[in-house]
Amino acid sequence: MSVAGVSKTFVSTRALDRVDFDVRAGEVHALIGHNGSGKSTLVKVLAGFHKPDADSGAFKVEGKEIPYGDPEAVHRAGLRFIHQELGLLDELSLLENLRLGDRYLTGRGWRVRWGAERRRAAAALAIVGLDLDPDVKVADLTPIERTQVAVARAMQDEKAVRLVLLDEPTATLPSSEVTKLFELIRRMTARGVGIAYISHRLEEIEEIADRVTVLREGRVVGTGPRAEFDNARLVSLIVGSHAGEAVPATAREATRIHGEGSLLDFQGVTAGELRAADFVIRTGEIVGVAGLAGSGVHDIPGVLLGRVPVESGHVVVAGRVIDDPDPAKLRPLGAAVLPSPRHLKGIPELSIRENVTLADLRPLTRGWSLDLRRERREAADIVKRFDVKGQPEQKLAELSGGNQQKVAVAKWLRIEPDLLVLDEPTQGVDVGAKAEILDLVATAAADGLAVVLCSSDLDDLEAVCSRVLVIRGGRVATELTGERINRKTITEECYRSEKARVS
Amino acid sequence: MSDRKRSASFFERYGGVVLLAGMIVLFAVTLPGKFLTYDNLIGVVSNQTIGGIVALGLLLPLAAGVFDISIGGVMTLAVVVVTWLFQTTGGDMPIPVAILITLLAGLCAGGINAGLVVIAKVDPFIATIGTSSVFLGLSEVIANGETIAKNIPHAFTTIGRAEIFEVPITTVYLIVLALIVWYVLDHTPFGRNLYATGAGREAARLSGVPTSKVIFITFLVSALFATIAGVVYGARLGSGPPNTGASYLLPAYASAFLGSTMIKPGRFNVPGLIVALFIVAVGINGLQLYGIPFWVVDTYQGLVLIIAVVLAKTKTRNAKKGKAPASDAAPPAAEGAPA
Repeated sequence: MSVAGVSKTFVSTRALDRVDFDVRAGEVHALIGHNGSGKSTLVKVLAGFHKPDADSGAFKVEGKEIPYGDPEAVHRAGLRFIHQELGLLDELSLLENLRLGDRYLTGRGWRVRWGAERRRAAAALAIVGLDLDPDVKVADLTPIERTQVAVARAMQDEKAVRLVLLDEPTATLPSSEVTKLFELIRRMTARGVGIAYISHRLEEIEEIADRVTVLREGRVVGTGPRAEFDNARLVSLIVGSHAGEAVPATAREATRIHGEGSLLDFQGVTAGELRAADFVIRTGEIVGVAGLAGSGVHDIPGVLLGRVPVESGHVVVAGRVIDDPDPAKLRPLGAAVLPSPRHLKGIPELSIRENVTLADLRPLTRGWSLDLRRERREAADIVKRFDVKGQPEQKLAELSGGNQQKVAVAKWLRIEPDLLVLDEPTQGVDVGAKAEILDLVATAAADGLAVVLCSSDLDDLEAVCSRVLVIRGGRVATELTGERINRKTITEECYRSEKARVS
Repeated sequence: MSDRKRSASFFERYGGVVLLAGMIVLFAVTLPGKFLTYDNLIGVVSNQTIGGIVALGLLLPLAAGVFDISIGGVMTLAVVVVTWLFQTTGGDMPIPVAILITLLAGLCAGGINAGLVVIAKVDPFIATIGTSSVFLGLSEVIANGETIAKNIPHAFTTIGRAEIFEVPITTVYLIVLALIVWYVLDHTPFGRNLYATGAGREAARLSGVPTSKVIFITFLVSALFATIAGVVYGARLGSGPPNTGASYLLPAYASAFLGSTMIKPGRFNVPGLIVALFIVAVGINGLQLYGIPFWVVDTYQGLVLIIAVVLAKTKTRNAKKGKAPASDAAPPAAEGAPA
């Protein structure tokens, strides 16, 4: 399989820039790169979901050209995609999952030939080395078995399959089962199937990949046999030679002056991907939190929002132990959390005015009623002060992503919290709006607000943070301060393998 | 920024009012001396009062993004309980006490719905279909399968039959209750939290809105209004048939949904509901005056409901982002909720 010179331009950004990528029969070709490097866009182009720009080169499988943007043609050519979530339906049996979206063998009177189907399912499961009753529900399987079933589904019409793309297959696997996955991959390559392997974990790539391609900002920045890339080289390729850009030094200085009272204290918190995480956030500091997907970074806001249950440990907010936090409990303690999924940051169907005041209506309440005139004035004020491009009475849904984001940040700054936790506040936001958002946050921090900034955008962290916590394997692995807050060091720390630390 | 983008167009907002005015003009012209008489018009209005009260209560759960199908059942229960209280006490129970007990019973019914939805996390649609049937069954038991008609005090019936300056008192009830609901929805923090919950339950919760409490209260209010409607109905009729409420369910939904497409399109709102109520009522009245066959009424109401929902859907098609995806660790999002 090969693609040559694929480009894909979204409205204003070039997500892929003349990317070449090929996988040979029987090899494992790893594709790596940071969030936003273009990996997922490339996968979507290969899968036929996105049509690349017209000047892109040919997409070929075994020398035969495949039309772009045609998922069925891609399937017919023998390409199979296994996404991180696997796409299995828990409540259905293995057999039903294997036949999902496909036709059942039928006999007379449209009767499904269950006997034949069961034999066929057993044969498919045998390909991946699973000896299970096809009537078992997927919900009852272990994580590795689920991965195996997903692979079996991709491989069941074995003769047609040429390439299987695995997107972050280990993200949901416990580390003890990764070797089983690798056995499975070797089993597939032994049958002459090519594997495209996407992962953040460099030690896995070291072990399983034959070749590596590194993407950064939509370009291939390095490609070749695995042996030519050691971990250090991979990391520097992933990060790029980006020297730190102009940092608003005043903001950073300002945040160092404060810093006594502990506002947020995670004491051995195990929740989601977090494993006994410990850290303290104090008044007036901006603390960045970085980590790869699946490291547990987003479980910190998740826990505070009540979306990820705390299994053990304590969460202490403003000196009070809160074992099952949720926003309504945090607000009286002066803590606010901005979630990352866009549809949860605000309420699209309500107006800017209604969104911006929603977090606390008490200052606008006279007796039983809302002082609507005052609310309108306040909303107009906020729109002006935060430079939101829109009218207060406009629905939030009508704003651009960056402006929705500003409304969300404004909503929380309005209640003047002592602690603000921001989860990906600049995701999907253009450069101008991004700088404005960071500026707002830095200004508020200068007034004594403590900020926790969970961001996969390392430039953000570099620009405003006085400390950066690197989360690895569910705990705070490293704390960076001063000069060490830069893209390169943060990335190295994120990718540093647990193995390397032992040796 | 154009005006069109900021808010709904004039036609979107007031199209319903124009339609209503058009119907009135049409019937006034084509049915001279029949339609535009005081008796006919006041009849149309007072016919809508009981259904209107049910629909007003229904606005709250709908605005919060949950269905309450049990309002018909609750109303039936109220009709039966209030009349039965008089019958068993031989008409001796003081009227305020009987009404108070009935209202409490209605609140209990609403509390059961709320508990099932908020605490047991049952889908509101399913929960209230279930409880509705239970309430109807309970009504049958209390009434012993017959209409309760003994010992109903005359003073009680005046609650449903009196007139103030030739305006039926039930119309006054509707106006007062409509004002209260309008005030709560548009001018109180609770109303704002209600709309926020309906437009995006998880997003609202993450903004600090106590969404579970909001939903709990909406079920209490819809049950309370259905109970009030039941009491008024029993008073007007002077008896308690154990099968009345069910027929009020569909018209309540039809007018609530139709109302959500006008005045403040995309939101369940009181002025819209009132206009919608009379679009349905005037339409039926006009058709009946024309001498249209008996089956038209049901068909007409059903069509209004369907058209209203289709209208509401097309208006909010691009605004469904408030719903959390199924994979979220969120509590079940506003189940089966419209708009």
